[in-house]
Amino acid sequence: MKKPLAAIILFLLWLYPTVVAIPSPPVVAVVGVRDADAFKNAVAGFKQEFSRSARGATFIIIHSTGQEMIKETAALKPDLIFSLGAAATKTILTSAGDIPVVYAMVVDPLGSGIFGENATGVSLDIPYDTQLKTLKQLIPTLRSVAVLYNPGENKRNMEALEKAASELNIRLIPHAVENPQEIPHLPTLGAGALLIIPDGVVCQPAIIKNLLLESLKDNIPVMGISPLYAQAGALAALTGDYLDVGKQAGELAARIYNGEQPVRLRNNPPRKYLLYLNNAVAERLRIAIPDDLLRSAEEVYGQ
Amino acid sequence: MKWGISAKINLLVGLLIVLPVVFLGWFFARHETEAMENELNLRAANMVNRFAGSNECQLGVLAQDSRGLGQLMTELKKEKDVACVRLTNESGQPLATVGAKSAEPLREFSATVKTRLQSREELSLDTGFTGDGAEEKIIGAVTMWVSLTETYHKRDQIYRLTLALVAVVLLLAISGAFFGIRHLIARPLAVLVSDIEAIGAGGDLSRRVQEKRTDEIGQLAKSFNAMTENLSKMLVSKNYVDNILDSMHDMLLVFTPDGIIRTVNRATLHILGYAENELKGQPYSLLLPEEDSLFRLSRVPDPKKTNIIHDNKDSSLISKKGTVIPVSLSATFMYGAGEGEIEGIICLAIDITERKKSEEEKRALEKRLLLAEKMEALGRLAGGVAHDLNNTLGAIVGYPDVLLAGLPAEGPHIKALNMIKQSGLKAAAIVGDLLTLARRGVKVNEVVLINTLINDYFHSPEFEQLRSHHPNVTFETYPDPQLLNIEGSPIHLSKIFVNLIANAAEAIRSNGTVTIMTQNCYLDTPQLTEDLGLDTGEYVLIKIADTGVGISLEDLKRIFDPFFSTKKMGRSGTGLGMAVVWGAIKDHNGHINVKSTPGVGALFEIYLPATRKATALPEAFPQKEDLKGEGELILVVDDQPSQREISSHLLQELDYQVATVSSGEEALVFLEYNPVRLVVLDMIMPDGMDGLDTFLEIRKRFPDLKVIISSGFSETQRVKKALKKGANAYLQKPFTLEKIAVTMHKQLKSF
Repeated sequence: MKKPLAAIILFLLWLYPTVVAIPSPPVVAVVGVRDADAFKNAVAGFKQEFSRSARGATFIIIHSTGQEMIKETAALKPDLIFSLGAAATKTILTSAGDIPVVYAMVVDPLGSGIFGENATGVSLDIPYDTQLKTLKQLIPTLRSVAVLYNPGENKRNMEALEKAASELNIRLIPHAVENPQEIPHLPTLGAGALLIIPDGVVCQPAIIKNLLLESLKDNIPVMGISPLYAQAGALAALTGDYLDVGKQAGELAARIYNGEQPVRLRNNPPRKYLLYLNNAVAERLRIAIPDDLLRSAEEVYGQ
Repeated sequence: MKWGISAKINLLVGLLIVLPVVFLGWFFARHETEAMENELNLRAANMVNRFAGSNECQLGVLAQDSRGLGQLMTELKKEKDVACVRLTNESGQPLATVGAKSAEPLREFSATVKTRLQSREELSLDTGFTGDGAEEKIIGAVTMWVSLTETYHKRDQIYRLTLALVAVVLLLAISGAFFGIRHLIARPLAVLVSDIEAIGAGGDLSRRVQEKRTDEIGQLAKSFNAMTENLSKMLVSKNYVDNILDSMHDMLLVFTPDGIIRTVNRATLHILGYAENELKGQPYSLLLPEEDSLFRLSRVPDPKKTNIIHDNKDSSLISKKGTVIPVSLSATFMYGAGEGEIEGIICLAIDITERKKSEEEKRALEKRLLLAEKMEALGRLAGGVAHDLNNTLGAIVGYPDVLLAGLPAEGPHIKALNMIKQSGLKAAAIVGDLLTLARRGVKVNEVVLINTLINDYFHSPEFEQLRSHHPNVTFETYPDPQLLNIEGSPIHLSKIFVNLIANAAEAIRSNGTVTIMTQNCYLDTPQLTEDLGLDTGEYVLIKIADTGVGISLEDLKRIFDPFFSTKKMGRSGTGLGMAVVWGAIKDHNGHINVKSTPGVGALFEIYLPATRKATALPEAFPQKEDLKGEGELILVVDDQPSQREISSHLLQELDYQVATVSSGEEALVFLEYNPVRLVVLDMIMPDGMDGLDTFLEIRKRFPDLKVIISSGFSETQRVKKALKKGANAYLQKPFTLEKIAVTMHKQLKSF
């Protein structure tokens, strides 16, 4: 008697979704994840925020890259793709079709070619005026700031930067470099500090290390674009809050899940910044970091 | 412990192998370990320098990026053997440390972190700074500890491997060398040595060793065989020479140039009484103390001169007993291989003891012969005159008795006749001395006691006369009461004492003593008998000593010469006394020894052979009347008419009938026809039959007839022969009445 009853119950349960038409929880494919704290924090913030709106959402992290990543993503048939980093985002956008793509951990999305009807996200671009103000706070006597940039990549940003600098009464010394061989010796630029902006030619580890070493040798403060810069020898680094960036991206995904069109959500700068300082570098450069900055800094290296 | 040649070669080769191999092994191991350590040091130094010079390091130090530095150092620590890395800032405070120092062996490598820093005090923010004025500063230091465990482990592996390789190489090399040496050297050598030992042990020089091999050992075997063959030839030659040397009766000695004895032959050992080992190596002075010059000469050789040093030089060798052996020494240089090099001195010594003795004897004999010849000549002279003189004296001695027989005892001519008779007798005595010197005196062998003769002399008129001439001389006698007898002629023996005692007395110029002593002695030592020229045996020794003037050495040599006299002419003596003494002693096989010190005295020692025979009892001298005959017919045979007449008168005086003939032939005829009882036959008859011939014929025809031989000579050979053939007595001329009476009585009353 028990066996027929159990069979009946199981049959009814199988028929329930079809009969009731209950919507299934979304599947989110996560691509471009790297083994770095910033990425992990961003993913965590995304999951945290999106799960609040889409209960039961499934997050499937795809570790492959390139065509493999595309195949696996396609096979998964996700409801949404959360893409981290410019490279993964540009790749997945080519095959995403109408699947919404929410990106994060991308610097200058438009400059990087990341845009589309189904694409939206949060960039890592800190507003130039914020960066220059912070630099001015650290070095009140600062009069000029050098910037190394690849014209093919950041020429458009130079205008915004020039505008921000002039507003702060800082002379901007832009120096275009199209390849690593054109990286000049830092003292030859005659600048009071070096502002590093996201740039494919400049922001290579070896170049950065050389620049940092020259800055320390020649007493030229550097402001970097990530905590690693401050840790490695930059006086300071201003970056977004990756967890918050993730949450911010999660909010965008939730809005899409709730019916909004991605194209309307556009590109969004990070809403929260983190300041990283290097006290040892400041001492070597004989720079006295204001206490309020020290207190507001996310982390102070070289203590 | 003796090391054989193969053992030595093994040892040498072993050393030659071991030393280089061990050295190479040590060198290899050391080189490898050093190279390994150098590589480690270089690698570590490069690592630490490269690290310290890297931009990342400089950047990390400048930025005090402990995390970044830690990552860099972690990468560094991943390098091989890196155990710990520590980075300090310019103040020495550690910036980062990776790894930890453990208990394992570590080696520390350090490098400073330097960079060029601007020295400006403040930032120049827009002055167009170009980097000028930057200076290099030490901003930190990197210390890296490298683990030596792996290095040491590899080093130990290298050592073990090297040790094993060395052991294997040594084992193989030494084994190979050992077997090679054994096969190529030791075994052939052992065979060669065995063969040589067999030859040495057996002394068989005809045996040969194997010559199969063509190497040095084979050549050695060939050389040894050649040497053996040569040695065999040399040995034959040496044996031949040795045999010659040992067969020599003469002594052969070989000395080194320094006079060390090298070789002596068997004769040398035999004659000198040494063993060979007692002489070899000894200096020449042991045997030839007189031959210093021989070896002084040898040190200055003159090769241009002859090699003869001595040629039959009279020298002497000293025997082991110390006896001096006279030798005839010939010495020559023995030259060596080099020019003028003297290898030794060869001495040939001929024992000339017998020759010396013979020469001595010859000299003595010659001396005696000379003396004998002198005596013979004297004897011939004396003999020649004695016959005639005795015949002449026969009348002087005989007729006084005839005359005295016819005169009264107290007649006036008695004394004169006695003086004539005494003078005749004295002259006869002189003739007797001459005959004695000629050793032709009568040989009478009576047993005599010397003490009696001496005693008789001391009671004789002659001694009384001597004492009267020497009143200041005391005569002392010490006769040995146990004195042995001697055999000899009392008359001749008496002459010894008469002459010696007379000479002793005459040697005393004022007061003095003449001592006569007799004793027995036995000569048994060769030295004594040789010195005295006597045989071993019992002797009677008579010593006559005086305290006179003594005899000079010059006179001592001549005192026994005839007619030698130191006395004043006319006082006494004829120079024949000592010669008579000498002759009498020699006639009795005795010896006289003279010792004298001028001014002190002289001692005469006379040795006469003793006899154990007893002396005859003194014969009772018959009275004159008893000596007379009873008319027996006596035939006197003498060629001298005076002798026939004297004899006739004396015999007639004794109541004999006398017939005389002048020759032997007449005597034989007379005897055929007359009853002759006794013949007095003169021995010397120049014409016709002499005495001996006549006697022999008489004895042949008349065997029982008594024959008395008479002669003016002493007992001659013909007299002796006659006596031996049966002559009844000998009567020496000149006759006295008593002498002829006694002789006739003895013969005619004996039957």
